[in-house]
Amino acid sequence: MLKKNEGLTNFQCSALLASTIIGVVVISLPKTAAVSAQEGAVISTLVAGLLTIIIATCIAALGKRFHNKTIIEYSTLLLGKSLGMLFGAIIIFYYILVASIILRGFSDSLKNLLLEHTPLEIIMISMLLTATYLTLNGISGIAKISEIFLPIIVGSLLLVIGLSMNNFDFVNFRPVLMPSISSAIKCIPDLVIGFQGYEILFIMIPFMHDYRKVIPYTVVGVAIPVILYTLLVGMSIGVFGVHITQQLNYPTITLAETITFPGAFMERFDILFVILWIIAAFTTIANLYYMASLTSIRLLGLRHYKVSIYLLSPVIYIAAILPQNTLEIRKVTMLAGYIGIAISFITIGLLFLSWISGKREKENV
Amino acid sequence: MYKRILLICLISFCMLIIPGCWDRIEIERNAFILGLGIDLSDDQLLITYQIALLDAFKGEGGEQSKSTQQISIVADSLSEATKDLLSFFGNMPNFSHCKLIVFGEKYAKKGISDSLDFLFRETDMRRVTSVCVADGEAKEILNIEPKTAPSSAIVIDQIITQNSLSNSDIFPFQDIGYIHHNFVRGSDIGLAKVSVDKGIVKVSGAGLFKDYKLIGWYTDHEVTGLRFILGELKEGYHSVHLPWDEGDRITMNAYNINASTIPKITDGNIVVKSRILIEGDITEIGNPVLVNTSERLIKYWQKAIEDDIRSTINSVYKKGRDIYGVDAFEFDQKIESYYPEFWKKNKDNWDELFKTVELDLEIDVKLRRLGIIEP
Repeated sequence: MLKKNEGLTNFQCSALLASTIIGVVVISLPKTAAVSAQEGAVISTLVAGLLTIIIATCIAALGKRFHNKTIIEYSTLLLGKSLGMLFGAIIIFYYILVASIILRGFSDSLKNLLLEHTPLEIIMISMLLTATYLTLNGISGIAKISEIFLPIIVGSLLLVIGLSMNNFDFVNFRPVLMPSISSAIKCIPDLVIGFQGYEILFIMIPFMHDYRKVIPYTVVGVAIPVILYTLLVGMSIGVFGVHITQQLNYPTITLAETITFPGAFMERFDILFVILWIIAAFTTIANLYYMASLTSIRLLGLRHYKVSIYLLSPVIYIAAILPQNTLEIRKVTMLAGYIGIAISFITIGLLFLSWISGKREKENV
Repeated sequence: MYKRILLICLISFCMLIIPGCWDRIEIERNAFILGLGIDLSDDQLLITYQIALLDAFKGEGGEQSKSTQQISIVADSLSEATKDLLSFFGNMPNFSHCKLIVFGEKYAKKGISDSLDFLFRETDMRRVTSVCVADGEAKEILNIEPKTAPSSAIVIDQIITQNSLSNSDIFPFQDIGYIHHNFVRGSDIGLAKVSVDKGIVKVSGAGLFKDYKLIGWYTDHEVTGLRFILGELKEGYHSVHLPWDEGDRITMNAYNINASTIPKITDGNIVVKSRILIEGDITEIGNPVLVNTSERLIKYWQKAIEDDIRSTINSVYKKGRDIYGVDAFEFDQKIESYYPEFWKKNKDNWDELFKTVELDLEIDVKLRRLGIIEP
């Protein structure tokens, strides 16, 4: 246990997890769910979410065994020096890829929805500079910001879901053909990609005030997005039906658009939601950026992470600028997602390895 | 020293970013388009834009000045017309408050599917924008300046979305979302009919579309039957003609209508069972003097209203099914909901199948109160 009042509190950990997961995917998740799972979208989302909770719990258990080390250090301990460094390099590459593609996806969507004439580069640079400034303060900075912003993010999503109850028509759920087991299994990976962001567990645990309670708070932190996403997919299919949700590029925004108050009390609710969504995207990008910089410093064995923050920002920017259009962004997002799933499964393998070899760290008093 | 310079550079950069200069459009520079009318002009489209003049919208204002301006542009497509609008009007078109889309009769007869993609894809266009079809030219509808509201588009939109709850002759809630829903499935649609009656707009009746081409009309009374079959009618007035000594003509105000439509497939035969429960009060009796209200009379009136509604619904159904062949009753969606395997096998020949669908009506009318005088 770190000294009193030092380190991340338990709620900050859940908030870090939740706010990293609720990011850019939230506006297009109902479309992915409807395209891959069709009528069974709600149930598939819930199952994918539960699977994510299980994976995150395994990663948290592994982190708890090595509670003073980040992934870089305990992977070299378990896999040996060269394999461990390789795994660490893959993780760093993954973090940089995800940070850049989330940045690009966010800027692209924002340009389409809100800021038509603003050059894409300006949106990306503004977001990247703000994230750089936040991450310079270290993990306590991003944890406090996540803690403050989480109620806003969750509140705005709940508002959209709650106010759309008016337009909800249960008839749209009617052809509930349970998809066959094989098709259900095929669509789960696409949905688990939407829940990625729990990798912050790799580096978070050494900084926690009390690492012993990490597992229940992990479950809480991942459960918040799971519930919200399931409700969102359910609401989107209930309001639009499966066929339309498959066509809409931004179902959540369109859901917010169909909210009307009688007497034109508030007409364009979706603009308000987009503004609150920017906050969600910002926490995700800042968290991923910090993860990338911290792991790269730990891999090189250096001490001050600020250097890597400065060095990584042009790398992320250039990587974000590379995709040419929306379809390429989608392809790279899927690719990054599959790499993330592979990394998660390797980490679960590491957990078994640590059980078998009995390596663990001494309990702190 | 360097820190100070860095600080100044940082603050200047922030000042450049935060105001959001690129997308700044002053509110006076926005041309808010309230209504969009699409007509046919030879081979091209004649698009009429109803643009709000902001002076009339702010404050109560003393004089009755013009509150909207209509501009008509000939172009090949909606996007081109929006671009051409910039040559006519000094402001930037802004669709985010568009309330109404009107299709002209000739254009609707030719087919509306080529302009639908713009309405679905445009970011600013909302899915709750009402859509209707004009009896005549859309341009005339948008050129009307109503005295009670700033623009005809706002009036028609309010009639379609709000007055339709109380008046059963108005075909309600067609918006871009409804059309998109049916367009993706390839279903037929019906749209509310708008016409000009003595210089003001009137919304009643419906136009029927097959393959997104206008092929026929329903009159106002027939729209009531259509709404009964759709099952979404909640309130309405209903009049029945009777023999002189039974009351001549009575009008019922139905305040609670519960209509459910469920298809049933037996041996490949599709029967749609429609169950309508109505509760209402008597609001007007044509011949109150000679009438003695009694239980027998109430039962007689109830039966008369049931028969009248039954014949209305049957004639509406026959007209839709046999004469026009248009499934504006959403039966295909009901069949997909209740019998998904059957629908998967037969959805390609729904047009022929629809002609064999029978309607089985069960109507129950209950008259509760008579108003404040007797009889």
